Amino acid sequence: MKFVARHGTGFLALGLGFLVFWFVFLHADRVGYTRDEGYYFAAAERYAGWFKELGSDPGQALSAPSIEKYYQTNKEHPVLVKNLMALSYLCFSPQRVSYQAGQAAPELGSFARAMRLPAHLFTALGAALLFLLGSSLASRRVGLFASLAFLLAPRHFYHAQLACFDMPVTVLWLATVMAYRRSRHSLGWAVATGLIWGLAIAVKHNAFFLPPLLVLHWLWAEGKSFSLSRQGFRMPRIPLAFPAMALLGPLVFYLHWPLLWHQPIEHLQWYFGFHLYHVNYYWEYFGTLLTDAPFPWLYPFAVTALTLPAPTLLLGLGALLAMAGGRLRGYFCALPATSPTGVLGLDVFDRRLLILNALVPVLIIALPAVPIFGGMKHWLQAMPFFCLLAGLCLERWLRALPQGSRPRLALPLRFAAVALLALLPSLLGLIRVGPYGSSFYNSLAGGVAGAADLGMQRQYWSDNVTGVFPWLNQNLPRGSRVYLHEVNGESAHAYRRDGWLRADLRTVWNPDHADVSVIQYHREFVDAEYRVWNKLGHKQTMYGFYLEEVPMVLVYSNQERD
Amino acid sequence: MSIRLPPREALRLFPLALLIALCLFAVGFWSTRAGQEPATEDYQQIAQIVRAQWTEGDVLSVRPWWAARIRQQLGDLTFVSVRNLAGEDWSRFARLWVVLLPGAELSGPFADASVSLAQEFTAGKLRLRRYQLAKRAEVLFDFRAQLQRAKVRMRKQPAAVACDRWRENRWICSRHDWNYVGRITVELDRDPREVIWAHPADDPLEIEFDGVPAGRELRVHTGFTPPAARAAGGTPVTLQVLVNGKEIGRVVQDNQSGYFLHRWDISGCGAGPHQVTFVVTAPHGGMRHFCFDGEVRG
Repeated sequence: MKFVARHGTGFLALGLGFLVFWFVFLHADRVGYTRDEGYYFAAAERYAGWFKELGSDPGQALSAPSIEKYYQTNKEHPVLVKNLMALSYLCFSPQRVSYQAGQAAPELGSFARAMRLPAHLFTALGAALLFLLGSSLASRRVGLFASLAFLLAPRHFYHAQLACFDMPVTVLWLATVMAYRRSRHSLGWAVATGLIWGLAIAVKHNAFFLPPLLVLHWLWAEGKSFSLSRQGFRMPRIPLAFPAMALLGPLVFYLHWPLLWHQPIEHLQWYFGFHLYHVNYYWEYFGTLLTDAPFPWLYPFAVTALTLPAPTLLLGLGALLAMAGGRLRGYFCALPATSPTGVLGLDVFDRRLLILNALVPVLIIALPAVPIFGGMKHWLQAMPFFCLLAGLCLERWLRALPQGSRPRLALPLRFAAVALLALLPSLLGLIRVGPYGSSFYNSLAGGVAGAADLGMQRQYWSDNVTGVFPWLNQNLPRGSRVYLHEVNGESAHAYRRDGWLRADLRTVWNPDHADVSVIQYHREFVDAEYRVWNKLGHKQTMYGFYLEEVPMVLVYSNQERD
Repeated sequence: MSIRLPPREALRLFPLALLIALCLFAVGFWSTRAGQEPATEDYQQIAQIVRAQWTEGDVLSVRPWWAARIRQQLGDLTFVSVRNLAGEDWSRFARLWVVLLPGAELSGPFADASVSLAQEFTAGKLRLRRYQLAKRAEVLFDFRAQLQRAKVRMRKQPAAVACDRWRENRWICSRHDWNYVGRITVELDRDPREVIWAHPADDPLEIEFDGVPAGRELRVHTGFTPPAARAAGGTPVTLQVLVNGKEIGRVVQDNQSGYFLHRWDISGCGAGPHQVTFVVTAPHGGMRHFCFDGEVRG
């Protein structure tokens, strides 16, 4: 029992992670396959071939031609997550599926379930880590609140389902920061920081922004220790984590990616070149289609304000305000006189670490030259820290209440009550938007309908198309040709493979060649719908999928009317 | 006189009070969303009313502009989908039906009674209004509708090249998929517009209509597709309008987004019928996705 008591927080983190995993895993079957997932599914399936070859003929598998053969697919992203998907696919998915016309999928959803499994494990790890960080900085209740506030935010929850890299890189970003925090007094954690950051950059390039952020933090937190005098320049000790990151990060990155083993320079050049000159996908923002730089610097702030559940937003902003504004802090957020530490109960090191991590990923996207496609997923790394700040702020605001006669009991009860109330809108929003998380907007925006009025991006990644699949499956004649608009070939393949879409339905890539056009509203591609109108000479739909009456996916018959 | 601030302790409670208020607002917001949506029966009822009273010269629209579910029942009728109902030119129509979702309202002449509200219905959570519009304009000739009657050619040297292959809804000028003159629906000024695609190549494009009846006014809208209007360095396009070979006007369409109206008095052109020719030219044809529509009004 002593062991359990001593490691109670760890056990709770484990339990939380376990629950989160099942929650996400069970819900993910309802979420359609995004365009990017289609590409990653195909890549992982290809990489699985390499793993098979590695098992049967290691010499051949490690040769340059073999690696090139398997790993050329989707080489614009590192392969840690895709390799895990490949292994999960080999372990849990039916391998050879021939879905001839009319043949049902062998097991509904089993292919994507296997492919998404690693992302779900990352999400569970993230929930547990955030709980641990909150517990370490303040209390278990703050950690739990932060973890739930992060996960239940419908946009975050949506990304948690997907076999993509945004949630995994967010989790490894968080893990790197946690390790860095502990590396102040530990060589082991410094080494861990380097290794974990190596894993983070092996997931997605966002993590390359982390070292500059940590250096900035060191300069800011240790600013007073720098001096220039007649005795010379003096500076504080460089954190051991920095050389560890510099040495181990690239090593992990190199080792994890077979494509780098034979022609590292060429492949790295291509990889960095791809992201440095990445095309911007158009994005609707307050009625304007953002097409080219410069983009509005307010963009990530406005999108966050309209997509993060309102109470979490207010609490996070309250925390940032408490840290920034002296006079306001005096009124609203001053600590009780007995508090041993600074603002929000954090010392300078932690406070500045949280501020930077909550702001820098957002500020990067706010730079006018940085492409802004993808909604809030590109600054998702900031959100665990923002939610943690929200939890800390809630604790502080509750401490400002009169304590009453039994303060030790009163505070946890008050925290639980207000935290539940603050999380309830997230949960209700989640229930409301269901599996169509890319369309979620908060109550301040007026929900999905309010966002449509405002002219915000209505959906992306094409996965909302599943809203019309039951109707298509039930109503289309056998062998119908279906134009699925933004759904790419890989995702369409996966839909049929997993039984979402009838196997006899044929996908075509031009509405002129289709019997039925399935049009997804996306401002950039409205011409696809107008083309159908033009061809048909009318605007009559056969069916539609709507959220709060806002059209998401409309189905048109291309057959001439009687 | 001095202003007394609230006690510091009371102010400290303000953020928490704000949080609880915001939570209650958000909970209320999400809890009531489902109950605000119209039922399928509401749409069916609205559709029955409209169909029963629909006459020639009627047009249908919706508020908010993005609403689309009613098109499942009534999308085969003349349906105008625009963001700004109040700013739209309704002169081609006699009566306007508007289906309003819960909370939607009309503005401008529809709100201040400048346009007469003839009927209003409620079907569950939907409202339906019928407006009697001002005197309907007499459209004598619609160039887009009559496009199949046109003669289309490219003025090349030494001889013009006829675009004389009509396929589906367009005159094909060459094997290039953009090189045609045809009916399209395209976004102009943020709304879908039914126009004629007349992308000039480096040579002028001529669209000639014979047998156009005489009228009082010739109206033309011009515009560029969004990609064309965004194209850096896109040159202006000139549209010349000739009646019986004589230029009555020209439009120099700068490279900008919009759906621009131009009007010419043609009452002095004689008794008709006339030959009307549109000549579209651009210094450089690259990305000149020029579109126009036109009509002769009596």
